[in-house]
Amino acid sequence: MNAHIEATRLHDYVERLLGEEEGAAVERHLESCDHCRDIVSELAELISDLASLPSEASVERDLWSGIESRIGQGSGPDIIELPVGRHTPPRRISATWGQLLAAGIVLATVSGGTVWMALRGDTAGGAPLAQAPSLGSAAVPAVQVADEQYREAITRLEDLLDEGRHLLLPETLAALERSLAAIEGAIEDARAALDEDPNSELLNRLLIDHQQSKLRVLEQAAAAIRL
Amino acid sequence: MGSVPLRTTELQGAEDPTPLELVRRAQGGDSQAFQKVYETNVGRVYALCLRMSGDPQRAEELTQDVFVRAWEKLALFRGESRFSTWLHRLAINVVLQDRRTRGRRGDREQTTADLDIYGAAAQKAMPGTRVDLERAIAGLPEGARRIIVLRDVQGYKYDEIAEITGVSLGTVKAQIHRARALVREALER
Repeated sequence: MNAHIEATRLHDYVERLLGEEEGAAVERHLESCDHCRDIVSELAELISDLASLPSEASVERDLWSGIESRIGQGSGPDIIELPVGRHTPPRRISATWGQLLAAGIVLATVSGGTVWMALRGDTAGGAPLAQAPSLGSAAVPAVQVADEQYREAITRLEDLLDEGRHLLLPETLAALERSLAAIEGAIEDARAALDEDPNSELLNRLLIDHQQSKLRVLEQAAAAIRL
Repeated sequence: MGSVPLRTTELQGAEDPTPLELVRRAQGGDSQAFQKVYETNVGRVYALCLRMSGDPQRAEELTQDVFVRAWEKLALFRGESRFSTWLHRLAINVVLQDRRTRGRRGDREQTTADLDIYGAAAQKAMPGTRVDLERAIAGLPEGARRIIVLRDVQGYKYDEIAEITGVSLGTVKAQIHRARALVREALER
C-alpha cells in the first residue's frame, strides 16, 4: 500500500481545494487506506459541525445605552473628523499615522505656500498666472524642493498604508487604489511633460497640485485606518 | 458630518423603513435609526466577538466598540455590498485590532474555570449550540481560535483570511490545520 497522504492534502481534499487530477488521486488512495479515510471522515464531520454553529447570539446585558452615550459625545458618522478622547484608546498604528498625518498636513501647507510664492514671483498677491507663463530661475528649485518633500511624505504614508491596508474594507481599499492610480498617472504625465518644458508654470503647478491630491487621498486613508 | 449633533426622526406610524433606509438615516446622524440598525445586527456581531475573543465580558465590550466604530465610519458604507457584510468585516477588524493593541500582555491560557464560564455563557447566548465544540474553540490559542472562527464558522476563504489578518496564505493554512487538530483533541478528552 502507498504511504499515507499528508494531512495538508487531506484538508485540501475535504475542502475541495485540489485540482481534478489531484483529487482523483486522493480518492484512489482512500479506497484502499482506512487510516486516511478515517481522517477525512472525521475532518469532514468537524468542518460540518463548525459550520452549523449558530451565527447569532443573544446579549443579556443592555449594550445600547453604552453605545448611545459614546456616540452622543460628539463623534458623528464621518471619515474625516475622527473621534478624539477617552473612548478611543491609543493604538500603536494610530499614533504613527497621526504623527505622519500631521506632518503631511504641515508639509502640504508649507510646501504649497512656498511653491505658490515662487510661482507668483512676489509676496503681495502676485500677477495672474496667465500673465506669467514661465518661471523665474529661483522658482524652479523651490518647486523641486517641494516636489522632493512631497515624495518623501508620500513614500512614508504609502509604506504605512501597506502596513494597515488589511484594516480597510475591500471595497474601500479598491476605491482608494483606483483614486491613487488615477492621480499617479497624472503625476507621471506631468513629470514627463516637465522633462520637455521644465520652466512651464502650468506644468509645475499641475505637478504640485497632483502631489497635494495624492497626499490628501493618503491622509483620508490614514484617517480611515487610525480608529 | 462629524460635528452633526445626534438627531432622531419619527420611525413609528409610517411603514417600517427597510434596513438600507435605516442605514441611510443613520448616515445622516439619526441615532434612533442607528439603534434599529444595532438591534438588527447585534446578534451576529456579538456571536462573532464572543467566539473570536473566547471571553463573554470582553465580547460585550468589543460589540460596543464595533457599533461605535460603525457609527463613526458609516460614511464609508456606499451600499455596494450588504450592510451586514460591511458591518461584519468591520467587526472582525475591531477584534483583530484589539488584539494588536493589547499585544501579548492580554494573552493567557484559558483555565478549566474560564472555559466553564465561557461554556455557560455560550449556552445561554446560543441555546442549542454544541457547548463542547464552543468550549474547544474557546480553549484554543488566540491565533488559532481567530482563524478557525473565520474559516470554519464564518466561512471566509483562505485568501480573504490572509488579507484580513495580514499573514501569509501558508501560515493561515498551517494555523487552521493545527486549530482543527486541537479542537479534535479537546473533543476527545
